[in-house]
This record gives sequence, structure tokens and C-alpha cells, in this order.
Amino acid sequence: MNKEFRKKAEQVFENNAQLSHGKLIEEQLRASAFQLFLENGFPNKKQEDWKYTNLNFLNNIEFEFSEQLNDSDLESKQINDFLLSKNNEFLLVFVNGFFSKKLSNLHLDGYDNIIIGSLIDAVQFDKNYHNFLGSSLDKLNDGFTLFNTSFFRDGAFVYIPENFILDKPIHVLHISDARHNTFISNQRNLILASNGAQVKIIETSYQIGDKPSFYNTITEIFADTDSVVDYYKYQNEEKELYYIGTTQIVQFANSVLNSSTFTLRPHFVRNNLNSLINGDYCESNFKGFYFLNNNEFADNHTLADHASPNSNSNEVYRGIINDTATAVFNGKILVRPDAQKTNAYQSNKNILLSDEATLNTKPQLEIFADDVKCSHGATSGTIDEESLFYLRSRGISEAIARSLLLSAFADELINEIKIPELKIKIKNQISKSLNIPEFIV
Amino acid sequence: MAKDNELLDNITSQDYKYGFVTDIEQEFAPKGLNEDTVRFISNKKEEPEFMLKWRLKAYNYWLTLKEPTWPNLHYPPINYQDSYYFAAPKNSDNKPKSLDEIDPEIRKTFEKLGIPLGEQQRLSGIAVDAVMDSISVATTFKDKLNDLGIIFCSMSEAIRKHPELVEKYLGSVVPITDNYFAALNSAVFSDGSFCYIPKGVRCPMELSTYFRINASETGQFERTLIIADEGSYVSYLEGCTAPIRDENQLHAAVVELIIHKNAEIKYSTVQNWYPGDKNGKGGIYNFVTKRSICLGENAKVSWTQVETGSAITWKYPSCILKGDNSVGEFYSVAVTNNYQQADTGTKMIHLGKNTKSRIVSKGISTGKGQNSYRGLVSINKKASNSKNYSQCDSLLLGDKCGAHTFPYIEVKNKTSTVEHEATTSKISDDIMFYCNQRGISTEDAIGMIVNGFSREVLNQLPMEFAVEAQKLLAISLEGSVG
Repeated sequence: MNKEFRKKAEQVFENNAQLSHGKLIEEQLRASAFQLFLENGFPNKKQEDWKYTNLNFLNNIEFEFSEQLNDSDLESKQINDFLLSKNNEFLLVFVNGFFSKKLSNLHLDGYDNIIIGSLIDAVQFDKNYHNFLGSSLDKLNDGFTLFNTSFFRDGAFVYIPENFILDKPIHVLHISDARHNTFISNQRNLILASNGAQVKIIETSYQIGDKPSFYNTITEIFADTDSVVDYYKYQNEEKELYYIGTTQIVQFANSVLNSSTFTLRPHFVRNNLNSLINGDYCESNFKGFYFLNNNEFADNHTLADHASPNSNSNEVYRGIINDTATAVFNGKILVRPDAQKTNAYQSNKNILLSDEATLNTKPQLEIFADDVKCSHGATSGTIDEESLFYLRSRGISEAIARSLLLSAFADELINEIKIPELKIKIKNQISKSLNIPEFIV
Repeated sequence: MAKDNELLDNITSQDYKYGFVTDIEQEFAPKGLNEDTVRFISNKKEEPEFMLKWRLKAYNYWLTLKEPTWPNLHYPPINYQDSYYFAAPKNSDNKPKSLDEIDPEIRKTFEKLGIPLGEQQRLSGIAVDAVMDSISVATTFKDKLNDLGIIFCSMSEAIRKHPELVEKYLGSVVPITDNYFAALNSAVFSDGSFCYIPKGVRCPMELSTYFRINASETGQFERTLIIADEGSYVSYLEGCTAPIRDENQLHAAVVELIIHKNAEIKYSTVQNWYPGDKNGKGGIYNFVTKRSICLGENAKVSWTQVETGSAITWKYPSCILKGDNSVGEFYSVAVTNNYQQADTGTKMIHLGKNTKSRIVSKGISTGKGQNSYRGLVSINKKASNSKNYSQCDSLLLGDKCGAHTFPYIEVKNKTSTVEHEATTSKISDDIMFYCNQRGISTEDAIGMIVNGFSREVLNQLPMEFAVEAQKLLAISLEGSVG
């Protein structure tokens, strides 16, 4: 962190402290986070968790803080391409970290007890919600988390009451407005699923304009007893968007978390996905797929933290890496001393399509209980010559045979998507990226 | 349950059978570490000038380093000034010409350990270099090996008699700047084994070094250098024990293997340093840097290790696969009991084309032991068509132990294939029931299962060692019930 940036950050922090509205967390918490951030700065390659992540953009690009909502010259039609469907989703739009009521589409009539909206509104409605903010992040003292805690001003808030099954997905869409400035945006989302509630969340992030932008976001999810949370991340922004996103999930007894992360041709993406299994008989499913071209970079860090017995976690990440792209995968299964009868599985498979591509993978197991079944596997290779030969011997051209095999590799993960619109969108994008002719799809 | 506990108690209170002390006259360097200690050691060993310079360079570099904190190990800070860096059996100044002249006490020691020093053990067909504390006390079968042109002697003898080889190869695989413990070792290493196999020679017998820490409050720093010239083959064994003491003793060794074109080295270790008592008191701190380099085409190196001893093990025998078509293998069984901690694994650095590597690591944790596998598979851009297969399995016996896996995989080309898999589990109740039902006691069943679990690794050991290793496993785990 250079002096200039430090000065800027101190100034903005000072300004924020003066604000009377929108104090989402205790000023003291914010101040101590900022103090720690100033001491430690952003992470660097010497830190184990950031070993393979090139954070030079933080030094090379001069970023500015976005200090207020500015959506006056944005219109709904500009974001049409980013939507999944016009009317079949609850849409929450954020511009540079601020909630844009104008662009959002909530039509909540008939949904009486649920709350979907901005964090500021929610906290004004019921102060108790702010007790949740940051409570899952005790041990996440990394620079970006501290930075987020110091500077976030708003985010999405979702509350699903007991035994309510929400039929439509909630789409949290972030737009980095990079037409005039190179902004840093911080955002903090909070999702509360009560006992027996079921909800589907989709997070996406796009950029308008061609300047670089940096989006640092944290989502905290609390999945209470018997709840089911489906959490999707869809990342497909080729513009110069630097994305660093942490998702912290706290699961209580019998809850199910299904997380799917699809990262297709991003410029720079780092996902931290952590699930704390805090009750018996939970299920945590992490699915992920990444496809990288050119000079793109995607980094997935996951942690399944088994703190309670009798739970299952299941993780499958797959990736295709082309050109000079770099993919990083770091999956950790932690089984704490009392988490007996844990079943944990993890697999990471990669296909490299170019000699310039780089893959760094580290599947990690840390087991402190004995009555467990944990396994992981990681592979890297290229397209299987024999499969290729099999297809070609049946009259399929090499190019199509290759695309077929690659799309089959991705299909297993895509087929599990429960939101039809998202599935179609991802399928089309992958077909486009892999040059798969339409008659196959 | 009461029986289970009893059995667990049994194993945790298992005695260390090599824990005796030999009462011989010893000569020490003054306690502590400074430039004078380094000079003292170099002088004592009548080393040529280049060695002293090299040592001092290492020492000065060591001063600039900090002890690494990244391993998954927890131990109180080591006071490097509170240890003797050189201890030798007193009459080593005039080295015995024949084995009959060896101090009978020392001979007795090695007999107790079951090491065939005497020529009457010729039938066992293993050439042994025995190292006690800092000094090589005996090397057997020298003449026979000499006829073939094989040099097998202590490191200090090699420095005096074959300085050209030592100067060329020492530190070429593990440079003094490599890491904290390698720098320390380079500065103060006192002895070790040296081995050179000339072109095209297939060494007819197993070469073996037996390390023994005897004196109290000493650190042992040995250095092993093995060079296999073109087309040669050698199988090398290493074993270690130490007496029971309350303090923690430091052992920081460096092993360098150089394999030329078409040559092969097979390096086997049975490490059984004193692991500390059941309360975690005492035991050896084992910080070892082992590395091999396959310089030429078709070179092959194979590391096999059975780690049952030491309070702390920090060890990553590595292979640099530089020559095209070269092969690296790593087979390991690591057992941690009581308060033992092991952070061990390997590095496979693929630089040449068509290089292959294979990793099989088996960790067994019981008591309060913590067992970590840490490995790196790195496939360089130019290492096209390379293959790696890694497998690391952990077995947990008891609910207070831990097993951890930290595999790093870095791939930089498309034609290479890397596969990694790992599992962690305990002995399932079903399996145990199956055995009990057929009249096999729980204790015997565990022995069987552990042996089966580690078979893939034990099979890689030369026969004499395999038997010892199997017994060792049985002793370290007798009666453990998950």
C-alpha cells in the first residue's frame, strides 16, 4: 500500500465516520478493522493463502473510493444482458457498492414476511440484524476482509422466515461503473435463512465502461436448522474487473448448502468460499467450474470446516485452462477434534489446452478426529487421445470431437444447476467459448 | 472400553529398546556455536583450506537466517548455544586400521543394535559405515569395494583423500543457502558417509550407514554424499538410533544424491531416533534436508523411508528430474505416537522431458501424534509428456491424533499428466468385526491391517531392512485400538 493510497483511505474513513445514517456496524469495530488494515495492508505472495495470486494491480493502478450512489445516467436497458429473466427473479442491483432502487426489480407483493432489499433499509427496520454482520468473520483477518469491514457502505439483505420456501431466485447483481473513474467498491451481503426455509441466491458482477475497477465483496450466509440454501456465483466479465469475493456460510443442524461457482473467461477472479458446519447432520456441496482463455486468472479457495459430527461435505471443481491463463485451486477440509463420523470428499480435475497455461492446485486435508472418511483427488492433463480417436473413427471432425469432449467434461456440473434460466445462460456461454456448433447443444 | 483403554495404554507406554547409553570416553568441542567452533571442527578433521572457507561462508549465511515457522510443527524454541557441536569417541585420533582395534565398548554398542560390524558378519553381505555421535567409527568391506573402484568411506576421509570429488559435488544439490538447517549443517557437519560408484559399476552389496547419537547434549550433524556415475547402480541403507534422554537433541543432516546418465540410486532409511517418552519429554528433533538430482538421461532415483522415531520430523526427500526420461520415486511410512510430530513429504521437480515420478506416502497416527504430508509436484514448461502419480493415505488410531495433507501441484504444460489422491480414515468397525469374528484378536488384527496398509512401501525396502521395518511398525503400534 503506497503512501498516497493510505492517505486517501484515511481521508475516506474519516468522512464515513461523520455520516449519521447507514452506520451498519459499531464504529469501534470498524475502527479496529481499519487500524489492523493499516498495520498489515493488503496481503502479498509471502502469505500462504495468497502465494499464487498476483496482486500487483493494487500497486499498478490508482484506484479511487466510490463514496456515493451515482446511477442517474444508468438505465434498465443497459443492464438487460446481465439479467437471467425479466420477471422470474428478485433483482437487487448495486452500483459501485451502493444499492440502486431505480435499477432493482423486487415486486414483492404477496410475499409478506420475507425481506429482500438493501442492508441499510433492513437495519433501520430492525436493529437486531446488525448483530449478525461480521459475526461469522471472527477469524478471517486477512487484508481484504479488514478492508471491506472498514469501507463497506451497503449490500444485499435477505431474510426468509421459518418454513418459507421461496419460489423465485434472488439475483444480486453488482455493476462496476468504470466509465469515468477507476473505482474500488466494497459490498457486504447478509443472508438469513430461518428454520426450514429454502432460498436460491445468485451473485453476478459486471462492469460498464472500459477503465479498470476493483470489486471487493463479502457475503455472510446463516443457514438455520433444516434450511436449504442454494448459492450460485456466475462470473463472466472479460473487462478489466478485479474481483475478490469472500463467502462465509454458517450452517446449523440438518441444513443443506449447495454452492455452485461458474467462472467463465473472467479478467481476474479470486473466490474464497468457507462453510462452517456448526450442527449435526449438515450437508455442504461445493461445485465449481472455470474456463480460462488468454491471460485470464481465476483462483478458488474453499474451506469445509467440520466443527460438528455426523456431517457430509462434497466438493467437485473442474477447470479448462487455455492460452496463457492461470488457474488456482486450494481446497481445504478441516475436521475438528469432536467432528466424528464426518464424511468429506473433494475432487479437482483440470484440462490444460496450452503449453503456456498454468495450474496450481493444492487439495488440503487437516483431520483431528479419527472416526472419519475423508478423501481428495486432483488431476491435470489434456484431452484423452483415445477418446478423441474413438470419436474421429466415427466420422466426427477433430474440432467437433474436441469440443464434444470438453463440453461433456463441464456438463456434469452444469446439469446440476436448479435454475433453468441460469443453466441455459451458462450452457450458451460455454458453447460459445468452446466453439461448439449449435446442432450439438 | 476398559480393555481398549488398557491396550492404548500399552502402546503409549511401549519402551524404546535402543535407549541405552554407551560409557566411553568422549571428546567434545566447547559448548555453543560461533566461528571458533566451526574452525575447531575443521581443524580437528585436518581439512583443506577450501572446506574451512565453505563452512565459514555457510555459518555467516546461517546467522542471517530465521528458523522456519511454516511447518505444521509445534516445539519450544531451540537454543543453538546450549549444545555441543562436536563429540567423538576419544581415541578416534588414531583411527583403527582393522576392525579388531575398535574400542570394544563401541563394538558392543553396535552389536546390541544388531549392526554387523565384525567381519564374521560377512555373510550378511552389507557394507556398513558406522557413525557414532559425530564420527565415523568403522567402515566394513572396504577392500572388496576398492577392487571395483567404488569409494565408500567416511566424509572426513573423503575430504582428505578425494578433495576433487568433494569440492565438485558437495553443496551442488543442497547449496549452503538452501535453508536454515542446511546452512547450519554445512557450517558444523562433522562426518557422514561418502560414496562414489564409477561408470558402469553395479555395486554388488548393499551399502549402509548406521547413525548413533550417544553423548548427551550434543547435536548430530552428518552429511552424506552419494555419486552414481554413468550407468552405475547402488542401493544404500541408513539407520538411526539414540539413547533415552530427557533433553531434546538436535539432528540436522543433509543428504545429497547425484545420479548421472543411466545410473540408479535406491536410498532407504529406517529412522528410529528416540521419540521421547509418553509425556512428550525428550526425543530427537530431526531436521533433515535430503535431495537428489537426476543429471543425465534415464537416471533413476528412489527414496524409501520408514519414519518411526524422533519427537519432531521435518524431512522432504526430493528429486530434481533434470535429465530427459529420468524417474523419481518416493515411498514413505511415517508413524507418530504419543506426542510425536511429523511434517514430511517430498518434492518432485520435473525439468526434463518424459520424466516420471511416483509418490506413495502412508501416515499412521496414534496417541497424540500429529502427522502431516507436505509435497510438491512441479511440472515445468519444458517438461513435456511428464507423468506424476501421488497417493497419500492416512490411518488414524485413537481420537486424539491428527493427520494432515498439504499437497502442492504446479503444472505448466498441457502434455503432462498429474494425478493425486489422498484418503484419511480409521480402521472401520466392519473390518475389525470381520477379523474378530474369525478368531483374530483386535491386537493382531491391527498389526495385520497396518502391515497391509504399509505393504506397498515396505515392499520397496531391501529384504534385511523390510524385516526390521515390519518389526518396528509392530512395536510402535502394538495393541493400538481405534
